[in-house]
Amino acid sequence: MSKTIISRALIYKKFGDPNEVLGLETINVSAEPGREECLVQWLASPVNPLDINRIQGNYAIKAEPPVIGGSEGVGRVFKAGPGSRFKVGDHVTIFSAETPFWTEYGVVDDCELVKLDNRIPLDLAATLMINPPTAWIMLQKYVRLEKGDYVIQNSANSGVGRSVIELCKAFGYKSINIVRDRKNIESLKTDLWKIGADHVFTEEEFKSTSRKFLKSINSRPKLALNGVGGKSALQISSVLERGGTCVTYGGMSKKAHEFTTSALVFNDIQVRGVAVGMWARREENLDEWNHCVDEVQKLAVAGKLTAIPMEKVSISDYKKAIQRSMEGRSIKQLFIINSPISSHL
Amino acid sequence: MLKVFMLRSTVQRAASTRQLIYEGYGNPPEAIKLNSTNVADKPGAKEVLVKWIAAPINPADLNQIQGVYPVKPNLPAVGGNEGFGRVISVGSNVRSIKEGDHVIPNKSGLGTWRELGLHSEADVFPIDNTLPLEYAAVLQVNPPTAYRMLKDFIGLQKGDTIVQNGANSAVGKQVIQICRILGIKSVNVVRNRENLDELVKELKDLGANDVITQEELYGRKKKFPGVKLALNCVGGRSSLFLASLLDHGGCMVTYGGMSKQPVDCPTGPLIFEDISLRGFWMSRWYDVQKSPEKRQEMYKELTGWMKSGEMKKQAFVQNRLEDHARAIEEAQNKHDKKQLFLLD
Repeated sequence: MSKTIISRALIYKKFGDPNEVLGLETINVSAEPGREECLVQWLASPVNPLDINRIQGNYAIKAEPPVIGGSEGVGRVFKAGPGSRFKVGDHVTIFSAETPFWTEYGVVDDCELVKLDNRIPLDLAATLMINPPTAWIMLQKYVRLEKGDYVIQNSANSGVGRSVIELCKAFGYKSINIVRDRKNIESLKTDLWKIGADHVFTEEEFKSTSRKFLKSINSRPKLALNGVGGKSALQISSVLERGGTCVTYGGMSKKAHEFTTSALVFNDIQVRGVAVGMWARREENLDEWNHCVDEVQKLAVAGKLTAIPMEKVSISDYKKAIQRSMEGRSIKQLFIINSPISSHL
Repeated sequence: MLKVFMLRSTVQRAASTRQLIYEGYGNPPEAIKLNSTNVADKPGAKEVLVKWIAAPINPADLNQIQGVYPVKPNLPAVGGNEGFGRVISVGSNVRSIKEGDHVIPNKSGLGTWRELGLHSEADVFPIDNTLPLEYAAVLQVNPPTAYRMLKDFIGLQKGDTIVQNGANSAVGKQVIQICRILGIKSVNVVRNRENLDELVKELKDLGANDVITQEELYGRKKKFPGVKLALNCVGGRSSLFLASLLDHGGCMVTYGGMSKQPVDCPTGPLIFEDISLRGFWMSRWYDVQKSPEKRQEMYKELTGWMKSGEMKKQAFVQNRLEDHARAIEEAQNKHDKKQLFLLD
């Protein structure tokens, strides 16, 4: 009889309102990982909008419940099975169709694990596989940008938005950042400037000053990155240089993306979209994806990518974390699943 | 050279011509005036004298007169961007065109609503002399727009499916016919109307595989698998549903915005199905052609289909220049029939 570990896990047994269908359960996990498998002790995992969509059953790819929640995170190899390429203590994440992060322990196949550099701070490591690669792919794969070229984006304060700012800085591109107006707008602007934003405007500010501003920089953006949709997509795509590209990665406003007819017809812009999870799984993108993950990790180790502000919560407090994530007024919630030094068996 | 020049300066004569001009931007029926002017009837070394034969009134012409079109000729300007004429004399250094050639404009804003025009050799382009008037007068914009949109964005194969809105427009009808000729299936969206059956029959006679109303498009009851290309000249909600019909990797090309609404696109197809949105503008295509070969090749194929009757003649309302106010008024308000000036 093989040994098992008791593990607490956040599981949904059917699709529905995450406040109702998600529950903290106790599961048995094999303590003896098989050949080319690892027993992973999960350390931290965020609550992403993607998690909420998945639990609601609203995401394009559906795994049939019961499912352990989570879409990205970081863990530590607790025990490596025979023939595994990992060793105890390695930091790892999962890159696979199924991503059961919200559990204290799990056994994962080697081929679904990605090694993360142990020097990367845990909060950043837990959020490294979606937002920074989305930003990296959008900045690298659609338009050939030179140092000094301008990139414009909405949702600049989002996870992807912040990665875009930091990567632009690292690559030598100039970022024009649009955010929604809010009470503490000046301190938000300061935050974004601190991580490397060149220009920050509220939607209203940009509406009234874009002409003057674009004249002052004597240039137009070649790339627009859109995570919002609606009129905001129109706002950033209509100031593109002739032949420029607008890449969509989300639709936070839940409104259709709008583009002016004249931008498409007369200004020859192109509109594209990307979902990093799907992009990375396409056979033809595999080498590029591995390269992207390496580069993102190097930038994280060098301190050029930093973690977004997150609120750390224990998985016992999952109800609060899910509720806050759904209300959308709080900063991102990060589950601390195990303390990195604990080692009870 | 010198001799020719001196000869010109000594025997400079002039011919009278009537033309429709606008001196300032405004509402087209009022902004356009008929006047008479003289043109030198002896072209300069690199010039050709063209006797214009027929020219249509296009929406772009009206936008240009309103001052809202990106191509803005110097004012006062002769109206009209499309049409054809016969070359009645050529300058001593003209090589690509000879007397008797039929020509169409080679640039936007040339001004075709006139009887006679002295043009630079580079500003007109020779076409097949045997092409009937109804085809030649509108060879430059609509058929090439349909042709290029079907050829330049997605490598379509026989049996592939495209979808378009505004299928009843002039370009829409060209799209239907070219699809039929190339063996591509077309799904055509039109607005509901009283005589819908007649319209459906007309489009099916041209070669449409399916004709559905906008409401049916929004109802999403009919499925059309394997749509690679969507052609959008409406915008708004119509473009939203058109984009949703696209298969993985498909492309929606916008070439007009009749609804005056922005082009709407849903998130799902963009990020999960990797569709792309592009735009097409015939004038830019002409502008970026460095050599005439691609253009000649396209006209050859199109005029072949026209002369064989595979592409049908368009219906026109014929007008004389002096009827300009009514003709322009109708062009603005009635979109079902194309207005044409007969200039000969």
